[in-house]
Amino acid sequence: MSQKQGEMVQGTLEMLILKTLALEPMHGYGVALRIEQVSAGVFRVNPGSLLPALARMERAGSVKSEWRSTENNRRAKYYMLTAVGRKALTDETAAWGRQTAAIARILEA
Amino acid sequence: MAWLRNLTRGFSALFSPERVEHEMDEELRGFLEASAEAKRRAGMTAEDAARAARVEMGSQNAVKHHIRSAVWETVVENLWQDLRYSVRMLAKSPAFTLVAVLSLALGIGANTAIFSLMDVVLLRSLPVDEPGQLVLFGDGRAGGSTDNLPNQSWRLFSYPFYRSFSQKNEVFSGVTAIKSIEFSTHGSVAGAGREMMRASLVSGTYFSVLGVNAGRGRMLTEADDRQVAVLWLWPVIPGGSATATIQRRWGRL
Repeated sequence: MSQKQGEMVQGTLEMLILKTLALEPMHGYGVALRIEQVSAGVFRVNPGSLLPALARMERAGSVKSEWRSTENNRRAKYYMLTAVGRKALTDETAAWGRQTAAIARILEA
Repeated sequence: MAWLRNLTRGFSALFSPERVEHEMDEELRGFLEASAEAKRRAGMTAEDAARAARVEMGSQNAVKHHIRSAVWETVVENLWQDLRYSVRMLAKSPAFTLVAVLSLALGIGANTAIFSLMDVVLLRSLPVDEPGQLVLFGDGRAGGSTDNLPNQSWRLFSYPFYRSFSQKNEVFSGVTAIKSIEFSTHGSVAGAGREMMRASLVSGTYFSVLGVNAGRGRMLTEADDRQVAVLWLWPVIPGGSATATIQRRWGRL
């Protein structure tokens, strides 16, 4: 089973968004671009999954949003991490570490 | 308190759909512009960059649909829209609506009527143990003399008949007698005012044969024969179930 180029591992999108927003508040495209760049082009997040995920997370309270003007003086919706989001990021990172370590152990056995 | 925020945000979105729509449009436009801007910086012409950004995003309506499905109030909104649509459509063709409503009403009404009948006749059995095993001799209502009835059939049995019948009984697990004519009497319970009471004369085995137990105190036993009455008070409660509100008290005749 091969992971197609640009396809996310199920359930990891929210964790990647949280991690990206932990650096600084960003607008939607900023998040998508950053994930793509940092993953060296392996993950491409299209707005059809990114924006719903952000809406869901905003509702869950892990991010909040604010309309700000961009560097080009345009209005954009900036997302930023809340305390709940920070906690979720720590928890999910730890869980992810445990899971990948376990998977690695199984694959190497 | 996450659910509370989810609830309040959802409601505020429900009551200002234009604002929600507008913000979504603006966010998508911003996304497209930022995307095109990044592509221009990477060396595309302005036109190519704009087109590439649009292609990457795909249908804007599809994206908006995905965003909407991330929140609960969309379900409510869709339901409300469906409801309004159906009411409009029904109002457009009143003849069809009338026929549909009448068919539904008749269908439901007929079913309810038949069920009520079946419920009384078949489903609701006597509130006693093993009602299916009870056998009633005679019709339980006759009055008059026990012998030489005009149609020669036995409908009425004397108390001595009952005594010897129950002594020689080898077929039934129990036999009990009830006076076939109800009478009313007056009495008072626990010093309360006198009131009209409906009474039945029964043999001491009545409750044990039927398998009915006292809510309070004890029921008649064979040892009580001809000495004691069980008083059943049936408070009149509109809509209330009489059997559920029976109070049983003891008193001497």
